[in-house]
Order: sequence, then C-alpha cells, then structure tokens
Amino acid sequence: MRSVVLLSGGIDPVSGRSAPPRGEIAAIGLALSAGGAVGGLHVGLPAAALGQAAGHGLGQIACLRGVGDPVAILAAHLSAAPPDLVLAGSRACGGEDSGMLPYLLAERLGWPLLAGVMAIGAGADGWLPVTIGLPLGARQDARIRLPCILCAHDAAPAPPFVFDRARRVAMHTVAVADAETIAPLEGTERPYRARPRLIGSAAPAGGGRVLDNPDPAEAARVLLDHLRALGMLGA
Amino acid sequence: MTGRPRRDPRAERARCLVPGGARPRLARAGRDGMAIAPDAGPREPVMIRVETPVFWVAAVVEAPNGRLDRWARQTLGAARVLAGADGGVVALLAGRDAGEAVGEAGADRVVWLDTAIGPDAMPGVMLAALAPFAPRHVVLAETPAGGDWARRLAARSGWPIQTGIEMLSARQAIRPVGAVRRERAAVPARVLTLPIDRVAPYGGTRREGRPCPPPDVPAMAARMQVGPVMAAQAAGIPLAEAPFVMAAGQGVVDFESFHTLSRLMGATEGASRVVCDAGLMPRAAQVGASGTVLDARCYLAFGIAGAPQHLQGLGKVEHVVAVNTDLHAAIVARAGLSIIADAQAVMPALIALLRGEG
Ligand SMILES: Cc1cc2nc3c(=O)[nH]c(=O)nc-3n(C[C@H](O)[C@H](O)[C@H](O)COP(=O)(O)OP(=O)(O)OC[C@H]3O[C@@H](n4cnc5c(N)ncnc54)[C@H](O)[C@@H]3O)c2cc1C
Repeated sequence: MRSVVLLSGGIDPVSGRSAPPRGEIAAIGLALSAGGAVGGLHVGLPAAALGQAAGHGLGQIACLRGVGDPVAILAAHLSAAPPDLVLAGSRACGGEDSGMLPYLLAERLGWPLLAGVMAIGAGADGWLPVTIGLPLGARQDARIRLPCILCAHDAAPAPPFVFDRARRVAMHTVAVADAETIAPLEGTERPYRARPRLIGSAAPAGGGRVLDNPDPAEAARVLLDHLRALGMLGA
Repeated sequence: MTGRPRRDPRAERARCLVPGGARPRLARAGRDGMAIAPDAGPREPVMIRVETPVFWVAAVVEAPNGRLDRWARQTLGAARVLAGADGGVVALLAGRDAGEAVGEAGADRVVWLDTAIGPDAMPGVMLAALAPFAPRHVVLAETPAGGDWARRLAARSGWPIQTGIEMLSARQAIRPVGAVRRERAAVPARVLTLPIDRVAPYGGTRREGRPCPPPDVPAMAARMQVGPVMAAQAAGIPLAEAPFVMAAGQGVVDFESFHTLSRLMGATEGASRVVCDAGLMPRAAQVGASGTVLDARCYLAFGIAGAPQHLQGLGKVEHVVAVNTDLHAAIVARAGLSIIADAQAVMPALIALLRGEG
C-alpha cells in the first residue's frame, strides 16, 4: 500500500508560529498504520511546518512548485503515478481553512472520500475498512474502494514527534506545469474580532428548578424523570 | 415647485396603526407604512403561507430522531435571515420527519432526505432536491455530517462555499480565516456552513412547512459502504467525548454507591480536582480547567461546589443537574435541576429506584 499525506504548512492559532495542523499529524498516524510507503506532498515551497510534520513519521516530502490552482496541481501529480491512499487533515490552519481541498481533489480525480476517519484496517480486494469517529464517542464502520481520499479525525491518535526525524527529512522540490489560475477571493480580510456567541440557550435563564430538602425517594424520582426527559437514560 | 407629492403625516400614521390591542401600536416597516399587512386579529394562531416567493433559500437540517435541536433551528434561522421578506425557505430534512416543528422553525417547504444512502450519494440527492427551487443560498450546520455534506455539495456543483460563518446578514457573511487570527467579510456565498450559537433561531410567526415530494436517488456505482452508528459504551468513552457524565465532588464519601449508580445509569464518571488530589478518583476523571473540558449533553454533579475552574470544564454542556447540600453553591446557578439534599441519601435512593424498575 502506498500512501501520500497532504501537508499544508500552517501556523499555530495561538502563537502564530509555523506548526502543522493537528489533523495532518493524525493523517500521518493513519498512513503509518496502513503500512507500506508513506510520503508527504505539499504544493509550494518547503516550509518550516513541513519539517515538524515529518518529525511525526515522514521520511520524505515532495514540494510541488507550480503556479495556479493547487487542486489542479495535486490532481495532475497524483494521477501521473496514483498512490493507493491519499490522506489529509480536516482543514488547513493559516490559509483559507475551509477544508475544501480534499473534496475538490476527490471530485477531480473521481475518487471516493470519507471524512472523520479514526482508524483504518487492512485493505483487501481493493477495499479498505475504516472507522469513522462521530460526536459523543460514537463510531461507524465503513468500507471504501481504493484508491481513495481519507480526511483524518482531529482526535485520531497522533504519532509521537521525533526531533531527529524532523531534522533528517528529505524534502525535494518538483517543478510542475502551471495550472489554471483561481479567482481572487471576494470581500475584505482583516484581523479577527472575537464575537460573543448567542447566550441563553446553554444555561437556564434565571436558574433552573430547585428542590429544597426533598425526601430522598422523591428526589430520586424527580431526578430520574428529568434525566429521562433529556433522553439520557435510553428510555 | 418639485413634482413630489405632499406628505400627509396623519394618513401615514393611520396606515401604520396596527389594529387590535388596547393601546395604539405603530409598525413602520416601509417609509410610509404601505407594506404593513393588516393583522389577522389578536391572539389567533396564524400561519404564513408563501406560494411563489421571489427566490428560495435552502437549509439542510439534521433530525436524526425526529427532533430539531437548537443548531438545526439556528440553521433555519440563518436561512430566514438570507431570505428576508421576499424569499422562501425550503428545508431539506435529513433524518426522520420532524412534523410541524420545521414550520415553526421557519421553513415554508420541507423535502425529506434519506440519510441511509450514505455520504457518497448525498451531493447527487441534494442537488436533485434543490433543482426545483434553484436556491440562492444553501445553509448547513458545521456538524461532522453537515460540514461533510456542504463540502461534497460545493465540490460537486462548483458553487462557491464559505465555511464557519460567525456573523451573518443578508448582505454580509464574516468567517474566520488564517488560523482564526484573521477574518474575511464578503457577500454570502451560495453554500454556507454555520457553527453553533452564531445566528438566532427564527422567532416569528409559524410558517407552513408544506411537505414536498422527495427527490429521486440518482443511481451511482457503490464506492463505499457505511455501517450503522455504534453508540459508545459509557465506561469506555474518553471523558472528553462522553455524552453523559456523572461526577463526584468533596460532598461524596460513599464511592461504592457512586460507582454502582454510574454503572446503572450508563454514565461516564468524572470528579472535581479535590477528589482526584485525594486519590479517590483517577486523575483522568478530573473535570475542569486543569482537567478535561467536556463535550457532554448532560452533567450530573454530586457534592460539587462549582468553582470557576471546575465550571470551565462544562463549556458546552447543555443540561446540568446538581445534588448539593448548599442552596447557594455556584453549581446550583448553572443547573437546570438542583436537589438540595445529602448525596449519600440520594444516591442509594436512585439505585433502589433503578433496580426496582428492572
Ligand atoms: C489553578 C487552579 C486550577 C484548578 N483546576 C481545577 C479543575 O480543573 N477542576 C476542578 O474540579 N477544580 C479545579 N481547581 C480547584 C477548584 O478551585 C475547587 O477547589 C474544586 O473544584 C472544589 O471541588 P469540590 O467542589 O469537589 O469541593 P468543595 O469546594 O469542598 O465543595 C464541596 C461541595 O459539596 C457540598 N457537599 C458537602 N457535603 C455534601 C453532602 N453530604 N451531600 C451533597 N453535597 C455536599 C458542599 O455544599 C460543597 O458545595 C483548581 C484550582 C486552581 C487554583
């Protein structure tokens, strides 16, 4: 099985220093668990965050140098020598951060895509079993036809960082044909302004119901009725 | 002389006057109140019916068990914001039929989508369902499923998409970019995704929510098979992901009952820092600023005071239930139900009740 992990570079949201997004580290972990050759792929010049990502288990990273739509550049490069598996994080961190790239790439390559992948199993007959992570700890088993694109769940296990691997990674630049240009983004960009979320829905307005010093049996009954009404006790 | 007609303030005021009610009430919607429709009468259940709106706005809402949660209502609210006075809202209801609730939440039409077809077929089905409406915008919640569908839809249709909108009006959508260090304000795109608690749900008069025939499912080669959702086993769920957490604080001394109760209720165990410091519960169970921040739907706290550092761990929890001897504990102010009683008495009573029931 040959896997390629898409790397976006990226910055840390708090410090602003270069750091790989959490999901891409999880994607490296998934690629390693699939076994076989694993390489990184990045559109653009070698960046500091790529080395840090490599520290989590990548031996080599190819940087595609070309002008234009990164989706088109990636699609051209991947269809020239298709790997079995392309892995990505849920979204970049430091760019447009929309999480659209894997979807656009899947559409262009005509490959199937699954997002929120927690673990992958052993592939057989051109199919790969995967486990999808859902909210509240729920899981879903799925099978997907190879070759495919998988987006790692942010909470998928992250392989440990080894400084020596980050130092030794082989980064090579590949000059590729220019692709079509993308339309400039609409609107204006400016520093982020935190806006308060709507309130009132999370906490009960003016406090909730209070039972002062009830009989224990009475308290237990009210409590269970309340939990049942919230759907927490299955019935 | 200009050719402008002379204003008649008295007549304008009379047009703005809303009929009914003891005190005069003026509603100045247009410049001169021409746009005001006469009220149907006080306190009569009314419903807004739209036949052919100028344009449509679609909202894809998830109702896995036939109930619209607040995120789904906010998604419909966002669609109403974009629809304004002239547009209609069509809800693509993914999941089970939610009945009249969809109309109350602001939908003029409802199209039911079968989610069992799997994510790969979703964009084709959504496009088939949207085609008769040619919506100006499609709004989805940035949930794992909704966010996935939105991106599949945008990739398939080529429609521009803006994700994670934090502020929305009919003319502008603001979303964070650049690792949430910058933001971009632009005209709302064709596809929009909405995080929770950013746009208010629709609070106006009930809408019709007329059911429309479901779309045909386009045939496609099976490229993936998705199995059933497996709910997590309470004990095995990491605290950060658990849906139902039951926690012990200093007020709990009877830990045997506590563990028995958590098993009976299917709740994941948590604790306050003092309890973990004392070695009565493992450190991994600590809830709060220096422990785990929960993603639970319900939090049941026994003998926990609700220190700020502890409450920080309850970030997104919707329902808090407290059992505490102190009526003035901070947790009581955060709780939807508080039982002012000894935890050591309430826990055995709960166990007895649960065992007695089966
Ligand atoms: C830097 C810092 C970080 C911290 N981080 C955390 C954190 O991550 N998580 C955390 O939990 N704390 C944290 N704390 C500690 C926090 O400030 C509180 O001390 C702690 O949460 C209090 O725990 P408690 O509510 O269990 O105990 P207490 O404050 O002792 O409260 C016990 C409560 O139980 C009630 N009670 C007593 N007897 C009974 C009974 N028989 N039946 C029912 N109720 C009874 C009392 O009325 C009281 O409300 C932090 C503190 C600091 C300084």
